[in-house]
Amino acid sequence: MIGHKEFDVVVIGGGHAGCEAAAAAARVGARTALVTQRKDTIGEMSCNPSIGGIGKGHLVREVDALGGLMGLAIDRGGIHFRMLNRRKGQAVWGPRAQADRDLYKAAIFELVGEIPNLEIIEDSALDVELEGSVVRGVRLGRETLTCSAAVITTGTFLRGRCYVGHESYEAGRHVRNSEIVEPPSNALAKLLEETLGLPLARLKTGTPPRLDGRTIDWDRCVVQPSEEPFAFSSYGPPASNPLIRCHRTATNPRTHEIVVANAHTLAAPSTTGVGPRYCPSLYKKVERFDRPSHGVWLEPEGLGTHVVYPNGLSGAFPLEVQRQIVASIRGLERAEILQAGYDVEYDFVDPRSLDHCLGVRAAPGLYLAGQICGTTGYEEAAALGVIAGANAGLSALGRDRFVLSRRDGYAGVLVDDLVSRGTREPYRMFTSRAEYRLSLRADNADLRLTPRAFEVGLVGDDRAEACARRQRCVDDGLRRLDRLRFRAADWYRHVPFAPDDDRTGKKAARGVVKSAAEMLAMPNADLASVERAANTLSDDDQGGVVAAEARDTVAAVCKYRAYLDRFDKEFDVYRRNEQLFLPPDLDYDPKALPALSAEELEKLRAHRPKTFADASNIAGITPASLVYLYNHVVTRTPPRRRRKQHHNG
Amino acid sequence: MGAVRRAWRMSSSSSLSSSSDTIFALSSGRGVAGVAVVRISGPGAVGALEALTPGCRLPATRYAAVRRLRHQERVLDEALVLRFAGPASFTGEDVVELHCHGGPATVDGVLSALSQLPRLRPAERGEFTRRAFAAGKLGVTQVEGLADLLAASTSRQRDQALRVMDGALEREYGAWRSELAGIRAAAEAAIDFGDEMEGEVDAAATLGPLEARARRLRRALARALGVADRCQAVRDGARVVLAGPPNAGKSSLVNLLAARPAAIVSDVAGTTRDVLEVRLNLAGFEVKLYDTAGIRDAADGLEAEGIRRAREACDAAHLVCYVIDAGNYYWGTDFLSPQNNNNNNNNNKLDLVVLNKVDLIEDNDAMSTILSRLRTDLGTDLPIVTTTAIQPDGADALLAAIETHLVDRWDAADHDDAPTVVRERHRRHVQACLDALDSALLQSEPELFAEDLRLATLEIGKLVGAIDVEDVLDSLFRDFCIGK
Repeated sequence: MIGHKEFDVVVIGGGHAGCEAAAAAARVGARTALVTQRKDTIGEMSCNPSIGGIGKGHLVREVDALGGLMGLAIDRGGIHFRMLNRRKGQAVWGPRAQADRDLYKAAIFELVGEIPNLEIIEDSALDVELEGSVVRGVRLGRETLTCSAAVITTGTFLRGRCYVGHESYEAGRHVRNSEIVEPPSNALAKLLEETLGLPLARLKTGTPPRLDGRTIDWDRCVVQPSEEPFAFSSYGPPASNPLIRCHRTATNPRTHEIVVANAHTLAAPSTTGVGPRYCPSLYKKVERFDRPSHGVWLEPEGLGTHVVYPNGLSGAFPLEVQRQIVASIRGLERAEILQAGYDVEYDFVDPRSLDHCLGVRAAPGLYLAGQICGTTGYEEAAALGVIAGANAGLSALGRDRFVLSRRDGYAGVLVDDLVSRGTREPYRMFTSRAEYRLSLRADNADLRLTPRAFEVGLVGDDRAEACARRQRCVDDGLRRLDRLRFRAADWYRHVPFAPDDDRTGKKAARGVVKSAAEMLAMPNADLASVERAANTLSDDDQGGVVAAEARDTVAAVCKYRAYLDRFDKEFDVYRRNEQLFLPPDLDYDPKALPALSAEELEKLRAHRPKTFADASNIAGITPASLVYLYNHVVTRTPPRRRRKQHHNG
Repeated sequence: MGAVRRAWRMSSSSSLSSSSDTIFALSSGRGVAGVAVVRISGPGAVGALEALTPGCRLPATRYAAVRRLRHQERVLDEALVLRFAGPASFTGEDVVELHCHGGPATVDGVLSALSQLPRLRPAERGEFTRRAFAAGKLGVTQVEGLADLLAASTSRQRDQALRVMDGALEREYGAWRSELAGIRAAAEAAIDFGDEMEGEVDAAATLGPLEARARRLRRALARALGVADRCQAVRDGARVVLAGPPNAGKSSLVNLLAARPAAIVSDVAGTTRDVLEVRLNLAGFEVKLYDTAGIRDAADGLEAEGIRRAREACDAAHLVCYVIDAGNYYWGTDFLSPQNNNNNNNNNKLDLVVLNKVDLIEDNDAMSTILSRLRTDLGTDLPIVTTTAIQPDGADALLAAIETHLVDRWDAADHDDAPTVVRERHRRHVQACLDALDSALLQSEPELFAEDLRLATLEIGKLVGAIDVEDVLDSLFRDFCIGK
């Protein structure tokens, strides 16, 4: 009996964060338990039925590169695909797929089940047992599990309260296609707030009503077909499910009149609660923007269901008002609501109480991931889950921590933003949050992160080898493109993107020679045309210059090379000198260091870091500031003196 | 690592300026003066005032009151006291000012009494300003303006520093900054939401108007750089160089202008081997007048070095005055000769010709001959002034000419009065920002356009403090309806 109750890591919650956390902890070698109120909700998509998007797609690719589940699951459950931003550069492409909810959930359940060391326990987590402030176990309804690390991933359940109109009830979420609501986690809120003294605050989110697809007049809507399926995982095939079609309709002035006339039927959290700004409720959109119409996307929830998710219609009005709103919209005049839309208001922990491993600073062994840290979105939750789970596992096993920096990936940006700056609204990933956006692309997530994941055991030999193989293909492709050199004038005769302005023309006339890689940096260039041109210009047929699995990455590297080189140079100089000593008498004064914020200066004055590496460990000091500080110190101190200090250190 | 950091914190705790301390300092200059102002800032400021004025009512905030300052039963002074309640004060904290009598004994008595109060300590250098900055009371450039004001020695320096401290740069840069954030937000919106936003925004359609905005901003930056020269000259002083062949009397002129023996003067050619600097106040400009080594071809090692420095000084000068000996008319063969000057291929500009030692010219005819020869040699209508070092007012014409030159150059009506780019640091960042905008305007891909804007933003951030991505997102959410 005792044997069943001992684990290294216990993960509380079976959502996107919880599943990834449990899987990551188990993969690094920790005996792990995943505790969930209901086994049948593991891997549930509680809100929209889609994965990925701009910025979010990057996170899915990174979760996959770290050995996570989300990429593989959407590759099994995807039924509608779109590469957002395809007309823009590759750094900002956003792979997005809609899932069949049941297929997606089944895939997650199956993937979790395949992991050795991982046990699913269906029970309610009541409390985390502490010895002093150190985690010793998790108390469930029926038993107590001992463990040295615990990950709380309770999503919207922390003192969750659902709203439909003025009616409200304690609940973390509605169970899909049923009348059942799941109870909130009030005991855990108490533990975090009262026992550990962590700062908690409220956030709000909402979900639209679900419609019966058989009652929608599809002909009155604009069809949006799927693209050819593509794979999210670097290590598996794309989805092979049948594809569905989505449709688009829109609200109109009549809809907005109903919204305005019924504003008083919304409860306070639905109008003034802090919700995600990028995904406002219909009420917020009508209130803030003077527009006659807002888009509504009709997304079928699966292959074998009539349920349709009307994206863009969230608003927790009383059911009768929701009916009027739906009926006012073109194509939805006779549509029936299967489940009312509702809002959830819940507690989150100020993530500044966490470290870069997502560990609660005040309670060694306790980790948080997902919405409880103030984020919104499945992908953000999954990425946090991997980081928290891996670190919980590593700490339980007494091994070194696993931290990703802002240079490493969006996951690093996500964690760093949260723990060093906190958030006042549900935090969503945007590509604009990543200062190294041009190097942190979806196409190279595996190359960036899989080797790191392998070091700590998050992925096995097979993935590490596959990744190394692809890296060789990329290197080889780049080398060949660098060596293929012809006169610019010759290139221009054979590529469709030849520039027509005078300056380039003159250069070409002077006989300037360009490599294929340089050609790819030109606006609108594409790899296939460059290869074709190279084959025409070469005496011997070059064949495909770049291997299929390296093409996206090679094209992106060539396009962004000038910028990537600048990042690298900027950062390498700094990296090489990370152990360089900061002068102990350095004056962290706004006059001397005007580029640093008052907050950063205050932190530097308080910590007085000894080296740059120390400075980079202070929460809230950005990489840009470190580089600036480095330049300041270097220009301030003559080189000889610095070397001496370095040596003495 | 953690241990290292902890150790540091402990070892530096004595000098660590925790903002919960209350600090005090003599805020007016040291030495005998009519009034000396002692400033106290921090949570204990009011308590300190109460301790020094036992039994007296606290003055209302922002009203002056006369109080007898006492310490341990002794009367220290009768002073005017002022109290400001935070955050409406210079530092954002509670502030007390004691306007004491200015004698050193009085001041020392007050300072020593304050230092004996619990949790009060003398302020570190610049600490009041630092606290004001930390409390968001002053922007970076305002802190710089304050520093400039404290160092100002001419009226123009003072005026400019006051305007900077008053936030002239902060406002100008702030406007650029918010425009840049706005452009960036629109570009980022096209990237992060282009395919999700209502009505599907086409990248090309988005970039067009943004490029127009970027071009407008670029023009504003270019205009600012156009007057950078003047603002920097006001702050750092106008550099005026006296150059010319050896023994033309440059050092004597400098001595006369400075009315003190600043340079060694002898009648052996080539005495001045270094560049000597004298500061003058002309028309409110601080003028740094440089006396340089006489320039000639044949020169020994040390003298050659002096000549090299003289050339450098000319390169960096705002105004080069070429001094020649009226009695020994000689242009030399060097780089400042009129022939070379006409080539215009370097910075060795010649702004003014000084015909020195005119006392040696016997009569007006001889003078006319020399002047016309000089005019012919010059081949331009460059101003010529005549000077002599043997009369006290012998160099007044030179002074007047320098003054006219500075005023003409930097006081013209088309100059907007507002300072824009005061320090070299400002110029560097504005230039880098402008370069980034130029690069952005060449891009056809939105993410590269945005990348260049990000770099431009970093540069502006270095001027006024970092721009957070949240600023960009705020602007984005204010202006765009994100649908899905």
